[in-house]
Amino acid sequence: MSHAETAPLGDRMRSAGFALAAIALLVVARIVIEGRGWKTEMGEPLFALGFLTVAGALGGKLVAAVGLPRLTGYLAVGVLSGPHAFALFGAETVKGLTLINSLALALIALQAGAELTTDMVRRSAKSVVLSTAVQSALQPVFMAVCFMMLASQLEFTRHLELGPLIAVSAVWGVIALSKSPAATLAVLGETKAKGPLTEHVLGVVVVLDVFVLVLFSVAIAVARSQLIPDSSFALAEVLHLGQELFASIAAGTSLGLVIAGYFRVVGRAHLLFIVVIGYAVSAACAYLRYDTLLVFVVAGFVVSNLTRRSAELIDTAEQLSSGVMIVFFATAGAKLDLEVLRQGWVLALGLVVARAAMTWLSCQGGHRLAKDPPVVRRYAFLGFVSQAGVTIGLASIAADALPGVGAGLATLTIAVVGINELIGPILFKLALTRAKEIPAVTGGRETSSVPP
Amino acid sequence: MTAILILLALLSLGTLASRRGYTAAVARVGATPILTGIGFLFLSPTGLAFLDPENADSLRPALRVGCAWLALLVGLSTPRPSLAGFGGKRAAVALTGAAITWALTALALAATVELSSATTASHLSWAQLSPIAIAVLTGGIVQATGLARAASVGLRSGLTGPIRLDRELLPADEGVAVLAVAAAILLWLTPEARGPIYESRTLAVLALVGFGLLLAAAQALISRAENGTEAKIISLLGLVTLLTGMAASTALPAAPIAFIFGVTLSSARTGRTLLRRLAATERPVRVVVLVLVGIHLGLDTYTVILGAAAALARITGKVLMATMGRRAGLDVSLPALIASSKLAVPMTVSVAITEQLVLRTSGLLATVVVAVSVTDLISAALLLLRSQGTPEIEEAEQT
Repeated sequence: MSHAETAPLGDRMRSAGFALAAIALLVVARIVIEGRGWKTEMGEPLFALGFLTVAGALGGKLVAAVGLPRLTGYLAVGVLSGPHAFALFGAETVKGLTLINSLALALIALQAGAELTTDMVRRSAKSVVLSTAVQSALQPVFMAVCFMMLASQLEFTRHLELGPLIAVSAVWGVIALSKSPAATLAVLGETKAKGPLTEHVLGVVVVLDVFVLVLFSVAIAVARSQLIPDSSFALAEVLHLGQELFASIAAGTSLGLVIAGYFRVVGRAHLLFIVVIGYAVSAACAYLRYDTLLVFVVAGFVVSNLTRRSAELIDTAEQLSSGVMIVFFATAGAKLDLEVLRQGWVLALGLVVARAAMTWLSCQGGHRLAKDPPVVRRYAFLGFVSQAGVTIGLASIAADALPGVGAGLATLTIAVVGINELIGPILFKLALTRAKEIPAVTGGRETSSVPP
Repeated sequence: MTAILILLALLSLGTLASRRGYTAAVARVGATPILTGIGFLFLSPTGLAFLDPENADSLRPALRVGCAWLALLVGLSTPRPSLAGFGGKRAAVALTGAAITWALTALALAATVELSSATTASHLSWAQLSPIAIAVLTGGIVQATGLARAASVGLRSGLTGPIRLDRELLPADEGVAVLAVAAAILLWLTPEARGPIYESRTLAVLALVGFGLLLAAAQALISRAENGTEAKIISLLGLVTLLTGMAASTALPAAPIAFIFGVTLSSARTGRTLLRRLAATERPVRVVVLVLVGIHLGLDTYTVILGAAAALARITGKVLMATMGRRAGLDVSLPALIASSKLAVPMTVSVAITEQLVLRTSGLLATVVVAVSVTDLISAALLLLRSQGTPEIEEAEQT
């Protein structure tokens, strides 16, 4: 728990007042420039990047004062200042800011991998594997059934025959299974939570992230064979994906050794090195079609478990994350299409509720088999509500790959992700608080309420 | 992505250079000629052109932010105690010296342009600005003293006395660069050549100062809201990026705004804390900026002549300033005064290159780079000569 949440109420309100005043000052300056007609088309991305950094950080501070995760503040600032609300900058400008995503995803994955120690894996392997397996088996099926029940209400599925409808529903089911490693890591990074619930959620989110890719490839291949008349299910595509995943693990292992080697031999300019690695390796992964997230998770795992450089890597990633995550989530908020959400919010809300219920149900199955402790059984599902960039990425692949239905599916996904993105981190922080896994700040030192 | 990778490669090189050879060798002979030379030789279209024009263009936002960042750091490092005690003889010497140097440099540039008008004028054409106006603007930018960089040899060796006194003259000198930009805006720029804000020139100047003060106010509010230094640094980074975007969208030069922002911030305790944390970023950023500047240099015989003329006029001005100082009983160090300000190149880039008139202003940029390089080399040589056998340095080395 940060100081922002433990300070007396008066101090928190005063800080929030200053934060609001600073944001207001910048907004007023922008309005004056636009109102007076001084603005030209140049410099928009720089303005947007600067504004989202400053206002996002302050927004995080504001919501932290009322006990919400900072991430919610970053998202809210992005939503409000973005093209679909007060339009301080346009949609094209926001698109130009996505370069930060490569770095943010690299950092998230590195941190996730570095947090997965062999001790932790040993402790929670059974629980994580069973939960992942049960969720992967049940949740897509449940969600596909929900989707099929709603199909007659949807413009893009109304005309489908049973075979294609089942295939498209399966794609939706897999999309619904995906989580947000970014949001999970951001909440864990902010709260510094430790304990069985933290380990369980982190483990499942990381493992599922890889597993979803495999399931999604299969689902898309099947759906294409149903929707496109002359095409058939190509097992070769799935096998090729397997090869890429294997190559990603090998590349991640090498990268981990390179990072550890640099830390040991050079021992300086860690921040710059990680930024360089983040971008360079992401570019290489895009070229070689490796799974970037998996490469970095494995690299983090290798540094953390096979070398003695774990603390350095986690410190560096955390230092960088504080700034990068603000821009990453604020940009994600700015990209949120409120118009899509406004048009389909009833349907989207229904699917969000159904997904949450199915997550709870499938989690319970896993917990029973793994005989998880009560704290995990009670609260773990709240950590799986978040969805963000990965899910939208899957939806955009579906939009390209599935003619006739892909675009509609992507729009629906964006509406659902919009809601999950906003409520997911709040629910996860609530779960960590209830599970008493967030250390309290006492006189500058953190003390966890969870026994070691 | 390619542009980011190139930028990161430059930044890595900058970091390495600032840790290894930069302090020992590059600082003594002058970073400007070496680093801009690398950019010019390897990356510019007139050199080996390792960087294609598209990527060079996509690096321009980085150049803008880098220039604003350097200007902010110069502003932040304005010594407050000196400003507080700044008055009387010192003020007279600093302001008269700055004005004389400005006038001499502008005069030398204008005369050189007039003498070779037919060919040289085209190298200094800048939208609708006349070569005379350019001469005045360039003179103002070039005249400022960059004592800290050029005197680093002496300061690192523990040299005290004259150099410490000179620090008190520094802010007035760098203020003149901002004044020159304001003068150019007030006197010559037309809205057709720039943006709608220039319909009222006074308003444009007021906006230049106003934006700097507004951002300082925003940072002050942020400092009250955030306790952690790291959070303040993130906000400052954001504000400088925002400032650069705001300046680009209103067609105002970012470096003077950042300088005013920095000077205002330097008077607060937060400013000094931030400077301590951020000082280490100056060299890597400077390396990147200078290499990127090299890409846009329109270096040829005429710009070398113009730059050399500006440098000689500037040195003459500084000699006069030092003489005035000595007559007024101030122990002024001439070699330190000769060194150019760290603000000169960012200010020129910010004024000229950001307006999408790169090709037409490459001559202006080259003139300033040549002038800065010449004065830095002479200053470094004089400082090294002077430091040999100086008891203050010998004592420091023994310590």
